[in-house]
Amino acid sequence: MAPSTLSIANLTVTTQKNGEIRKLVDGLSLDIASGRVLALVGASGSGKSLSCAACLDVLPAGVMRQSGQVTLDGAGVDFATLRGRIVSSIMQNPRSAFNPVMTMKAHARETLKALGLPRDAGNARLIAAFEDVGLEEPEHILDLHPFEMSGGMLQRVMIALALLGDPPFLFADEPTTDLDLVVQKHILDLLEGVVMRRGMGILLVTHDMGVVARLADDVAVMDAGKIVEQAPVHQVFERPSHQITRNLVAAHLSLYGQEVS
Amino acid sequence: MKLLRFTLKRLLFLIPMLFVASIAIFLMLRLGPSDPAMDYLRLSRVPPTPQALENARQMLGLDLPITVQYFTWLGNALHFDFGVSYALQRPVLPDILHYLPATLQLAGVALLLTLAVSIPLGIWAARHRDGLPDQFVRLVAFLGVSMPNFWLGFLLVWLLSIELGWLPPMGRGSASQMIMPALAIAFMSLSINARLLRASMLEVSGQRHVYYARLRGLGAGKVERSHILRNALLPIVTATGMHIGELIGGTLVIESIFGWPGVGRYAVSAIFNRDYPVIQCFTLMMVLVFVLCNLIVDIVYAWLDPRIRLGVEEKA
Amino acid sequence: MISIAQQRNRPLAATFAFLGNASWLVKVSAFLVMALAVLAVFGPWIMPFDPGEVDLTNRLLAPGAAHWLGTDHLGRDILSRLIAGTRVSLGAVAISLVAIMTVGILVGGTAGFLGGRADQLIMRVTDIFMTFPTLVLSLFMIGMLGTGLVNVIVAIALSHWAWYARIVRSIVMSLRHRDYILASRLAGAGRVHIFTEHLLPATLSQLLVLATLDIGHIMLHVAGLSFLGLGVMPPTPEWGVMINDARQFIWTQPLLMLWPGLALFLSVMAFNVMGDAVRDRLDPHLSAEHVH
Repeated sequence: MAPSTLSIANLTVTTQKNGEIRKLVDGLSLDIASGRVLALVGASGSGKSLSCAACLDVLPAGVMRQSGQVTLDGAGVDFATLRGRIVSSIMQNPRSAFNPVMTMKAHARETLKALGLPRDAGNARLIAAFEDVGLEEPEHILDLHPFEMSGGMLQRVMIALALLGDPPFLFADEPTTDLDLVVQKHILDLLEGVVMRRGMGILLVTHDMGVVARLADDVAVMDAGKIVEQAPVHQVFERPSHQITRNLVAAHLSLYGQEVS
Repeated sequence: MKLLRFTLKRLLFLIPMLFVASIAIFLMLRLGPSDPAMDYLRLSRVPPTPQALENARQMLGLDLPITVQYFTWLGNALHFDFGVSYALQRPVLPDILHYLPATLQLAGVALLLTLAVSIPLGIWAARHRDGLPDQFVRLVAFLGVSMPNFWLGFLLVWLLSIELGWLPPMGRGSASQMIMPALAIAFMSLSINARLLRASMLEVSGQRHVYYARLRGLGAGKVERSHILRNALLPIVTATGMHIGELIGGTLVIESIFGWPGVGRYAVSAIFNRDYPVIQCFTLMMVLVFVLCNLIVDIVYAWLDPRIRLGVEEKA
Repeated sequence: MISIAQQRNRPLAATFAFLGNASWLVKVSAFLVMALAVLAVFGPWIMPFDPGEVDLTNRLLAPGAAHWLGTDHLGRDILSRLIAGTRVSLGAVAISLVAIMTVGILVGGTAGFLGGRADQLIMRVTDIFMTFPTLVLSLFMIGMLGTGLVNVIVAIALSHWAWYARIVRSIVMSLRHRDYILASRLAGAGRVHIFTEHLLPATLSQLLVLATLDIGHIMLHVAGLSFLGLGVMPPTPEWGVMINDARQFIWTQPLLMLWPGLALFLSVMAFNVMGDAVRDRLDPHLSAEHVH
């Protein structure tokens, strides 16, 4: 049975500068449930992406996880074991996320291997996965290098790779930033269709409230390393309680000439 | 297939390049400050009377227009005839071909040593950034860039042959006779290379594709091999192309210390005597060797980096 | 970061003020470099013996009270010869660098200023020069010109200029369409005037950084050619010549080859450290790309 709830409790991430310890994420707790999309929003530098990196044990050098536990349906697990098999990831700016000297096939093969899946000699599995995310001519794409593809294609490949191992959870870190508007829409359609239909639990990191309005079920608002408000999406848009939330929502609504009620 | 076409294109490009090089070498030697006929008489120990000079000029064809001289030389060169050494009165090419393989062998061993030592050192230093291994590699690099290779050769002979008696001080034949000369030649290149690889690996480790590889659950070893090291080696390939030249140059200097029967001593005495046919042939051979080495380096680079192979400029 | 333009107006004292808080290594190197300069200039008044004086009764003496570092196979005082060697070595490096920079500025400046076909042709030639290792190039040049210190310097200049020309060209290229250059052109300034007044000063600081980094390399080069018997000729006291003289005594008197080698090694190291320090100070962007 695939786990249905991923709980992160009391996550604190620190860095040391000039002998002074600074908290970048401060006691963060989140529950990600399968079939639901939890949006983690906040200004850049508020600690959203670092929280994800800390959960998956991929913090940059000089940044440390001070405390925190992660549980799957109540059973404690090690952070490092989540990566890949339990939580797959997609990230922003797909052009620089792929190794420029490797083909898509090489990326996909090594992902299969990391997930402990069979080597897929005839590429049947990879071709099916690429077709699933709406890539045309998947056989051809397998032989392409990142610089031969568009950002939208690369983002689709990234989603396909994230679905390869059928993991119960997905961390999507700004999946539409840096893409042009039409491509953004396609990627959002794809996340909504292919990903959500599988009943995965999604943690969506973004600063774009439009994306939140479109995809999220619940919203957690971060500021300076702390969650300042957590509520269902309609409540956040209708009755934002914290000032930071109000600002985010107001900034989004002003794009459409509206105001917070 | 694309790599093959790339290689063929580069090989074709070689022919005009060698042609231009041969003209340049020929002209520079002829337009130099001294008179080949005088040098010829000096090296053949004939008193330079006006009559003897006139005869020598006629015999060497120096009285003909320079274009005629060049094309005569080129025509002969195309038949593998590079003339006769003034000093030794022997055909030049067979002698050079006799000595050159030993030089290339030693330089090749030095190249292997450079790569075999500098790559692990660079990886080791990058893994332990600012730690003891990193400091150690920094020290090696610091010594390496300042060490005169010929002095290092003597130090090695003194320490390992005379004081400790571990290695034979000179000669060519066994592998143990190669260790000291190869180390003396390679020390500077390997220390530069190790630092370069360290810097390159640290730079690549910070790139986003490495982060994404870790996110996909790849193990640390796999990430280091396929995503850090492979990309970090690209600048090393370019640097190695430059080091090959340095290594061959170093070999020419080091050979005499270890009694290595390479082309170095032959060439140096020809340069000392201004023995034109030898200098001409030797320089052209060196040009050929370097151009071929550069070609190999370019092919390796293209093989490792599809952006070059496919002729794509990288977008920022 | 301090721009080149600001940098060039700094007094020399301010440029080297960083020595105050530099690492001990840089301080030691700066001291060594100054000591070498003093020895090169005032050597004849400092050295205890005449470096050329042959004394066959006192051959191959071990270090002692009279001859601090001993004597060589002709009974000449080694310390005095080492001191005399600084002048040859530093002098050759200084003259070579001036020659290299002159050729580099002339060729690079011409290419950058003319642009177009002329630039392409000149750059193709520099490419060819940069393809070959400097040692092999200078061997060829000596084959053309003949042996001796003067020819070695010419050969070194002819085999190193391409790196400098390339830098000058790229700076001139990047500056020549700047507003202040265009303004001065509109004001009627001639090409030569613009070059010497505006472009040259901008390139000098980078050239000096490159030159400082190259000092050690060129020292090794001069000594190497002399060691091969193609550069400075015996009996002139020069470190490479001394190492070559000492080789036949390596079994009996290894100290003979130790001293000149050590002098060469320490000098090159001191100049390399200073080169790095000056580079980090003046031009952090000119990194390790410059590999010979």
